[in-house]
Amino acid sequence: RNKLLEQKGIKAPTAYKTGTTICGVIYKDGVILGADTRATEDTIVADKNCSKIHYISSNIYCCGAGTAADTEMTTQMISSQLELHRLNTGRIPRVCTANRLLKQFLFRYHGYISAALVLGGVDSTGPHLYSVYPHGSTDKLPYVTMGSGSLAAMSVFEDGYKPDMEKEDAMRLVRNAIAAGIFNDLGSGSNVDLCVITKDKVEYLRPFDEANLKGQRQGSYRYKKGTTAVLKKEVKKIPIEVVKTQVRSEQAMDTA
Amino acid sequence: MQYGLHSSRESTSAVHPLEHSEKHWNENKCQMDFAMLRKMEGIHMPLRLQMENNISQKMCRLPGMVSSNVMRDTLTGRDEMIDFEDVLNNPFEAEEVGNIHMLMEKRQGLL
Repeated sequence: RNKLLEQKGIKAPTAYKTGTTICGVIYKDGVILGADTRATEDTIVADKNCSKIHYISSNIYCCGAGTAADTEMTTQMISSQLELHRLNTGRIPRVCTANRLLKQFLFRYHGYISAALVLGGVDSTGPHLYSVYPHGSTDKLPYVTMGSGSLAAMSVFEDGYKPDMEKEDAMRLVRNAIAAGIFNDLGSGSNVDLCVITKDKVEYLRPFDEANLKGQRQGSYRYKKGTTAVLKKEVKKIPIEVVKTQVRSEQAMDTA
Repeated sequence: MQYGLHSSRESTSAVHPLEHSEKHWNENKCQMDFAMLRKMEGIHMPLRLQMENNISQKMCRLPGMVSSNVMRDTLTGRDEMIDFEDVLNNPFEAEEVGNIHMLMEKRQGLL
């Protein structure tokens, strides 16, 4: 049936993609992940402020580029699996475990699950940063970028990265990298979200920087009352009779 | 006739390139694991594991009800894993039940 419709020229609805800029960097005390907040459907902005930094566990977060549903569901699935694993072992989960789970999950579907992820976190062995590609390959690097704006962001990183940066410098670097992606790539836009992960705590800064504020209206454009002259006034009463009364309770019926 | 005329195309050609791979995923994984175990430990290892698997398959509920597979899950380690099969298309939440009288007769060998 779908093939018949396509022959007639009716295009199928496309998936809701996140043409994105996401990046991550390892600094002195931990990992900083950054992402933009625009979600697109082909050429329309579907969501001006979507959150692309997903929770995997209390010390591991993951940014997602690609099809929004795929990244969302993949990160939720891996988060559940990692939580089960943590309950089984009784230890704080490691980033390499999350990496391996993601790798094996994505390879099983041979790239049909289009989720390109930047996985970062701090565990007992220190801070780690991985980039995971939709077919299942991963890279372990000190700084990574993914998404349609990855080239713009990588250029900023290549210029400004130094090993063992301070927190403020690293935050500024990530913010500049995402801003480069926002202003130079059409698929990325709106605000910059940041997530700073250290050994003891996680700072989820959303929004970190509102790079694109909506313009303020200069004045009120409403017409004053009385601009249109009233010629005639007629008041009629409409009789209403009660046909049906419905009692609605606050809780839904429990049909378990 | 109950579900419309039967088209043989839908049972032979795959809708999605991964359909065949996903349908036989568990079996293929087991085959690979058993082949590896046979080479490492000897023929007895996969034979024992398959014997335990067969025993767990024999334990089932009355027809029409899905078994919870506790023994099989514990043996294969499936109870420590969450996958899409637990979330989507869970057989416990199926809307249709087979014709229980027919199924019972089939099990007893009367049909």
